[in-house]
Amino acid sequence: MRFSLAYPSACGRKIAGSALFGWIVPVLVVGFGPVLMAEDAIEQIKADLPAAAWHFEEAADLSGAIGKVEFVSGPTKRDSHTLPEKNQGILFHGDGGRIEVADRPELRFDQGDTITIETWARIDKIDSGGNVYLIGKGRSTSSGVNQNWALRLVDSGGSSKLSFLFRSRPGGDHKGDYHRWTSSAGITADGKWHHLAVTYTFGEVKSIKGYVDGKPTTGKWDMGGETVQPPVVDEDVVIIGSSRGGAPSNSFHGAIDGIAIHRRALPAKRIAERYERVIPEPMAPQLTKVGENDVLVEIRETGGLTTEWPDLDRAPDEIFPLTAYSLTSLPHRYNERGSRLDRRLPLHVRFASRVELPEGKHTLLLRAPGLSRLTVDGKEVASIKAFNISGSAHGEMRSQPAERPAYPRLRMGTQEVTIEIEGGGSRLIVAEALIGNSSRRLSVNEFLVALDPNEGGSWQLLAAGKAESVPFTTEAFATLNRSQRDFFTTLDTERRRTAVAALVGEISTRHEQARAYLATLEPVPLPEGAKAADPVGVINAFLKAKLARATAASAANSAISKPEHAEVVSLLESTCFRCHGEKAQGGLKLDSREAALAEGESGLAAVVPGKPDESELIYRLTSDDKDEAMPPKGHGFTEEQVEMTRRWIADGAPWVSRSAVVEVPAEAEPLAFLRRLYLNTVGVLPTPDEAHAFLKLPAGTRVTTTIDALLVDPRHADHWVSYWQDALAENPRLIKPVLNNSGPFRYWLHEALLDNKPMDQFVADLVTFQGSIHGGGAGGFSRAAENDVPMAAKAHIIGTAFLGVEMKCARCHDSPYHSTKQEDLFSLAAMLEGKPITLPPTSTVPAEFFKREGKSDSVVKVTLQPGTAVAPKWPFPGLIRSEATGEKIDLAREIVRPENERFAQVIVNRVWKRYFGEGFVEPVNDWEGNLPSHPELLEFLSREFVASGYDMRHLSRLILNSEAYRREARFARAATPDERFFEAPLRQKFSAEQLVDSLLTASGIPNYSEELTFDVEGIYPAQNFLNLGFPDRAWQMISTASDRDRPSLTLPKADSILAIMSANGWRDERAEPIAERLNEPNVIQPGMLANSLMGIWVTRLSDYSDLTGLAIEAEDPAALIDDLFLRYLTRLPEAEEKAAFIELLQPGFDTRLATAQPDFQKLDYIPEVREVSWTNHLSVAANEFSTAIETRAYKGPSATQWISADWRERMEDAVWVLVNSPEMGFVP
Amino acid sequence: MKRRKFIQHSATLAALGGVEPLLASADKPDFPMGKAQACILLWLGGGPAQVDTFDPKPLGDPAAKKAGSAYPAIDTAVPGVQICEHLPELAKRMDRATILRTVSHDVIDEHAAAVNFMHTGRPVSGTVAYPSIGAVVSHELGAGQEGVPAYVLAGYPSVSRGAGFLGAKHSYLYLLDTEKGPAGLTRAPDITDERQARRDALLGKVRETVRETRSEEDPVVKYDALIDESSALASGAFSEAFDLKSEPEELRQRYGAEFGQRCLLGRRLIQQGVRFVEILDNLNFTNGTGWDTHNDGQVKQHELIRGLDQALSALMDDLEVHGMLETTLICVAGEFGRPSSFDGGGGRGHQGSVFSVLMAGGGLKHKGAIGKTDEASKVALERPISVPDWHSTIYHALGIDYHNDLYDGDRPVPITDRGTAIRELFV
Repeated sequence: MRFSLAYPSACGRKIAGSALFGWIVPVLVVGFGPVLMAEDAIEQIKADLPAAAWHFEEAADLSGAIGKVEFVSGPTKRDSHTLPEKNQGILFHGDGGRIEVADRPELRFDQGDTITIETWARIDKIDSGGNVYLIGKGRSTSSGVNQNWALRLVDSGGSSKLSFLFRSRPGGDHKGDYHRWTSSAGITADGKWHHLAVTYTFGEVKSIKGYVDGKPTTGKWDMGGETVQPPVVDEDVVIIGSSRGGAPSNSFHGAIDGIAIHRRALPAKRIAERYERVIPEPMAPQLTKVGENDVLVEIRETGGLTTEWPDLDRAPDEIFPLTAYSLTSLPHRYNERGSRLDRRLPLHVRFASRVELPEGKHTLLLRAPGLSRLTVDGKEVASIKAFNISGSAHGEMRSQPAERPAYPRLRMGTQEVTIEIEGGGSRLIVAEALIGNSSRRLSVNEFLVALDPNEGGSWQLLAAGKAESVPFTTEAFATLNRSQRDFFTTLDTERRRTAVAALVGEISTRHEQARAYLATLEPVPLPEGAKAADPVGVINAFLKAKLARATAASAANSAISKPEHAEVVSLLESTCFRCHGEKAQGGLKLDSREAALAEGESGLAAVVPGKPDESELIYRLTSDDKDEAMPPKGHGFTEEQVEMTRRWIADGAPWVSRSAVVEVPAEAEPLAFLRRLYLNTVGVLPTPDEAHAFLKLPAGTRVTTTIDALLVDPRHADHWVSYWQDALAENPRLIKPVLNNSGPFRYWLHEALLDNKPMDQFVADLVTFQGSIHGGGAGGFSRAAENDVPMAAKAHIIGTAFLGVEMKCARCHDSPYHSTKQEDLFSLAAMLEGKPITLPPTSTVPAEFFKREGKSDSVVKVTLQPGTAVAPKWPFPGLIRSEATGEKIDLAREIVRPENERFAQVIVNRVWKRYFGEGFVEPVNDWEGNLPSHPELLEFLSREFVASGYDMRHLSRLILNSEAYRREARFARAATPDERFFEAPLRQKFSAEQLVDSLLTASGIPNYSEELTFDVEGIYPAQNFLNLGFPDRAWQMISTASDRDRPSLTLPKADSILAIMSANGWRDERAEPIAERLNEPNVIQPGMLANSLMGIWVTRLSDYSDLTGLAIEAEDPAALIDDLFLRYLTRLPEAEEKAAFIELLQPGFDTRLATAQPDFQKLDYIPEVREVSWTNHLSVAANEFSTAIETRAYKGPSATQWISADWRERMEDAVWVLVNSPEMGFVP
Repeated sequence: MKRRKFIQHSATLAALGGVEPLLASADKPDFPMGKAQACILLWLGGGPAQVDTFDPKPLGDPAAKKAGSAYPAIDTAVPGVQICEHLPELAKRMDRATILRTVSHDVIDEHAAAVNFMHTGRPVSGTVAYPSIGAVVSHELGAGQEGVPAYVLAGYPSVSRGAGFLGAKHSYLYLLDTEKGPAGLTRAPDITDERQARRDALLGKVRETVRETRSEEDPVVKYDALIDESSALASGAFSEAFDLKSEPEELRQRYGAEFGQRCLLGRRLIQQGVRFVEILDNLNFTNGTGWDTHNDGQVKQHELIRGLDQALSALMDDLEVHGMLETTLICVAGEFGRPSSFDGGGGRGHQGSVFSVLMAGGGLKHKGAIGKTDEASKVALERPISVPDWHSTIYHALGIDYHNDLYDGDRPVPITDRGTAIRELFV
C-alpha cells in the first residue's frame, strides 16, 4: 500500500498517445468532452496533489491487509483511455477482508474542511439492499459510531448508489446522528470498472456533489437528514473494503483501484477527465456459423443495466439457429453436473441474418420485453425503450384496441413498434434486446420481428434468406412456439450431456471401486437352483422359497389352531411391536411366543398359557389406570378383541400367523398386464394402437421387450418425478415463498430421470445443492422458507429418503420411539451447512412444558439445550462408521459409499414398493425396529443395484420381469413382514398424476391449464414470483392458492385439474416428505369424474380431442366401442356391455356426420392471452375480466360442428360412462 | 400386590408407559364444556383494522397521517362497549357477541403465513403438517348427518385450511359459487335429467360387470359403492342447501351481497348437518384490496364494514329465528389486525401484536368485549389472548376436549398448542 503526497515514480508508465487507439474504433464517447490525448491516470491523480492515494502496484501495498485481499487486474485503457494498458487493483471477497491504514492528520476532516473521495470500483456481487464500504475513516469496531467520513455503495432495486456517510459530533443538545447522502445514479455488477467520486465541505449542506463515471449525479440527504453539525473526528484508522471490524454485511465484494483522498473539492471538469470511455465496436454477427436460411441467435450474459446497451466486443456466450426472428423461450445453461444454472442478467439477445425482401414498401414490427433495437444494413430503423412497469398491484387493465390487429395480440410485459421500410434485395437485419435483470426474472415473453410485405396485410415472421416464412397468425405462432420449446429441449439434453462429460470418468471409477468392494463380501446364499447371473430367477426363487416355507408351517399348525388365533397374533404385532418388538420397552418383548411367555424385568409373564387371568397382558389391556393401561395412547383393544385374546391364551397361546393361507394368483391377462405395466412405468394408459401393437408381438418375448422399451421411454421420467417430489418435499409456490417452500427442483428431478443419472450421483448432486435455486436446479432443494433451521428440514428429508431414518421428532427433542437424538439431526444439518449450527430456542420443547406437566420422567427428553452449537458430524455409526465431519460433499460421500449398505437397500425397497405396492421393509422411510420380509433377497438386489452402477432402470427391469409381477393383483396389505410374500402386486389406486395424465392421454386432449404464474409479464424476481409455464404432465402442476381470495387471481382451468388431483391424494403443499400418500377412496372422487370441468374436457367431442376424429372415422359402432373400451379400460367389452353400448350408439350412427365429407383436423389448443397479471390485479376491471373468463371456462371447450348434436351427445355419454367406471381409476 | 410388584420391578416404567403428549395443553379447565354443535367462521381475509371495526380509538386522520380510528365510535347494547359507527346493526346485538380485543401472534410479514397460523394455531415446524380448525372439528365431531360433509369452505381453496396430517377425509369441500355448490357435486349445466339418467343406466351395466366378476375385497368393488354415495351427496338433501332461491326474497335481501349470500348458505349447510363452515370475505370488488387496506384500500373500507354488518346481523337474526343461535358458534376473524397509524398512501399496514376476533352465539356467556388495548391499539393492556386460546375456546364451546391428542402417524399431537379456553365465556 502506498500513500503519499509526493507521488512515487514506480507507478508512472506513460503510454504513447498514438498507441492508445490502436485497437479501438471510437464509436461513441461517454463521459465529458471530446476524446483527448490521454494523460496517465496515476499522473493525473498525482497532479491533483491528493492527501493520500492508493494504486496497488506493489506487494507492499497490501501490508495493512486483514483477511483475504489479493491483487487483481485493474481498470485499463479499455475502461477509460486515461488508464494504462496494464494495471493492477485489489480484490475483496465480501467476507470482511480489508486494508487498514493508520490515522494521520491529513486524513482527519473537521468542520469547514473539504473532502474529495474518488475511486475506481468494479462490483462482483452485492446483495439486494446491501450497503458496503469502499473506504471510510473510523468505525473500526462492530459497535463503533465514530464515522468521520465514508464512501459506500448501497443497493437499491438492483442499482448500487453512492452513499456518503458521516456521524455528527455530540454537543450541547445535539446527541450525534448519522448523516447519509445517497446519489440517484448508480452502477451495477456488470463486470465493468466505474469511477466514483464525491466532494463535500463539512458544515455546508449544499456543498455535496457526487459523480458516477465522470458525470455529476443528483442525490439527497436521507438518513439523519442534512446537518450543520461538525463531524466526529478522532484517531481511528482508515479502512478500505469493509468496516465495523470486518462485518460481512458491510464488506465489499469486488475490486478497487486508484483510491484518492483530496483536501479540496476536485472540479467537475477534472473528475470528468478521469472517465473517458470509448465504447468498443461490437463484434459483427458471424452469420457463417449457421446456415444461409437460418436466423443466427447470439446470447451474451452481461450483468449490466437494463437501460443501456452493453459492450459487444466479445464473442457471444452461446449461439443457435432459429427458423424465424422469434423467440418465446430459451434453452438452459447447465453446470458440470448437469444441473440448471442461473444466467447472469440482463441477457443480450441478438438476431441476425440476411433477409431477402421483395421490392416495394413494407412494414416491420418489432416486439420485445425490454430495451430493443432493429437495424437494417447497419442503420437503426426502430427501437423500444426499457419497459418500466410499476411493481404495485394497482395498475390498470390494458385498453382493448377498437380493431383487432391482423397478427397475434401482444403479450403482457412486452412492447411493440412498427416502421415502414422501402426496397428489396438481400438485407442484413439485426434485432437486439436486453432481457431480465437482478430484480426481474428471466422471461423472454416475446422477442420477434414480423413483416408485412408490400403492406398487403399478410403478416409473417421475418425469416432468413430464402427460408419459408411462418405466417404471423395466432395458430402458426403457437405451433412455432411449441416447436421452439421442443428444439430447446433437445438442445438442453445435448448441453447437459456435454456438460457432464468430464464427470463420466469419475463416476465409472467410483462404480469400479464399489464393485471391487462387493467382491470382498461373502456372497448372499441363494435358494437352491438360483444363479446369481440370472437375477430375475433369483427374485422368483426367493419369493417361492418363502411361500413354500409358509405352506409347510401352515400344514404343521393347522391341527392346533383356529383362524382367530392368527388374528390375535397379528393384532399384537400391529399394536405392540412398536415398543415391545426389537426395542423391548420395559424389558418386555412380545414378538415371539418364547418372549411373551418369559418373565420380563417385572418378574411377570405377559402371557401364561391357559390362564388369561394370570396373564399381565390381559390386565394391562383392561386396566382403567392411565399409568398402567396399554396401549398407552390411541384407541385400545375393543372388548371383542380382548375376549378373543383371552380365548387365545386359554387355548394355549399358539403362535400362528395368518400366512397359512396364501394363494398364488394366476398370471394376469395380457391386456390387464399391459395396463399395469404402462401405468407403473410411464404413468399413463396404453393407447389402443399401443395395445394392438403389444398383442401382435411374439408372446414369448413381448413382455420383456415392452419393459425394455418403456424404461427408456421419456415418459418413464415423468412418472417418477412426482414420486421424488413427495419423498424430497419439493414444495415451490407461485408467489412469495412461505412455510417451508423450496425452489422448483422438479426440473432437475425430471432431467436427472431422463438421463437415468446413477442414483449415487443423483444423491450427491441433490445433497450438494447443485445449480440454480429458483430456476429449476438442484439448488432449489437447499431452500426451506420461513424455517428457523432450513438445514434441519433438509437433514430430515435426507434421512427418510435415502437412509430409512425418520427423525421427525428429533427436530425439537430426542425421538421417543427411536434411538435418534436431536443432536443427530442437527449434526447432519451442520454437515449440510458446512459449519456448526446453533440450536435456536424455537426448535426445542420449552422447560415450562415439563414444569407444567409436573413430570420428570416424561418420555420426551430434551438433551440439547438451545444455544448449543452442534458441529458437523456423521451421526449414524450404526449404518457406517465414519469420521466425516466436513461439508455437504462429505455427507453425500458417506450416504452413497457401498459400505453403507443401507442406502442401496433403501432405494431397492422404495422401487420394489412402487411396483408391488408394499416394500420388504415398511414403512420405507423408517427402518428402525422394522424387519425386512425377505432379508436375503433385499440384500441380493441391493448388491445387484450397486454392481449395475446404481442404475435405476436396471433395477426396475429386474423387478418388472419377475413372475410375481405378472400375476393378477391381490387386495389386502400384509400386517407384518412375516405375512408379506409378494405372490402378486397389490391392487393400487391411480395416483392423482396417473389419473389426470391417463384421462388426457386416452381422450387425446392437451393439458388445458393456464400458464402457471401470477406474473404473466415476468417483471418480478424469481424468488418472489415463479412461472412454471404451461404444464404438459400432471407433475408440473402447482397449487394456485394465493391466500388472497381475489377473483382476479384465479386460474379456473388449472384449478379444475387441481381439484381432481387434490381429491386423489395429491398434496397442494409438500412442506414435509412423505413415504406414501393418503389416497383412500373417498366420496369426492367419483363426483369429480362425473361432474367437474375436467370431466367435461375429457368427454366432450371438441375439435381438440382425438375422440372427434375417432367418431368421424368409425366404420361401425361395434368397432368404435371396442376402441373406447381399449382406450379407457384396456380391455374389450363383455357381450352384455357391448350390447348396451350399441343400443346407445347405433341409432343415428349412419347419419351422425353434419356434412357428407367432413374436413376435420384436430386443432392445437391455444390458451387465451392473459390480460390480468399481478401488476393490475387489484383493479375492479381485472376482477370483472377474470370472472367472465371463469364463467366461460366452466362451459368447457366448444363441441365440434362436424357431428350432429344428438349423436355426439350419446357418444359423449358413452365416454362418460367409461371414465366413470369403477375400473377406470385402478391399476389392474 | 401383584400390581405393586410389577411396578417395583419395572425400572423403565416410563418407557413402557409409552409416550406423553409432546406439547401438552395447559391445566384442564374447571368449567363445563359448551353445547354448541356447529361453527361458522367468517374470514375477513387481508386482516381487518381493529381500530376501524371492533376496537375503536380516538379519531385519527388518514390525510394528515394522524394515527387513530378512521370513523367515530358508537355505543352498543352492552354498556361501556363501543364499536365503529359502520357496525350499527351489530351494535344492537352486542349482547349476543363478544369481541376478543387482545388476540395476538408474532406472524406479521406475510398473509399466507399468518393465515396458516390463525387456522392451525402453530408455528410452522417443517416436519408436521398441522390440521386447520375445520379439519379438527371434522375429525372430532364428524358430520351431523349421514351423507353430508363435516367441513365446507365457501371461497378459494388453500393449504392453510386443509387437514394436514388428518388427511383428505377431513379436508373441506369447497365452493366458489353459492348457487352452484361445490365442484364435483354439481352437474354440468348442459346435462339434463334425461341425459343423466341415460348415463347412469349405461354406467349401471359397466358397474354390474365389476360386481359380478370381482371379489368383494377388491378395492374396485369398494369404490363402486362410493359412486352411489357420491350421487346421493350430489342430489340429496345436502345439495338442496345450495338452492338459495327457495328462501324468501326478503330474507335474501337482508343478507346483502355475495358475502351475505354465503352466510345464508352457511346457515342452510349447518341445518343439513355440516359442522364447520368457513366463509371468506376477501373479494376485492368493493374497495380494490378487500380487508388488506393498504393505501387507497382505506377509501372505501367503510363499505366493506357495512357489508359485514349487514351479513353478520342477518345471520345472527336468522339463526335465532331458527332456534340455532345458541348451538351455532359464529367467529369473525382475519389473519392479523392493522396499526392505528396510516401508511404513505393513507391506508394501513399489518399488525399481529394485537387485534380483535369476534365470537357470537354458540351458547357462550357473552360479555360484549374482553380485553383492553392501549390507545394506539398496539399492545394488550389486560387479558392477553393467544391464538391457541381462541381455538381452545371454539373447541370447548363445541364440546371437544382440546386436551385430546391427534395422531400424525403414531406421533401424538395435542389438539391445541397449550391453549386455554377463555373462562369468562363459560361461567
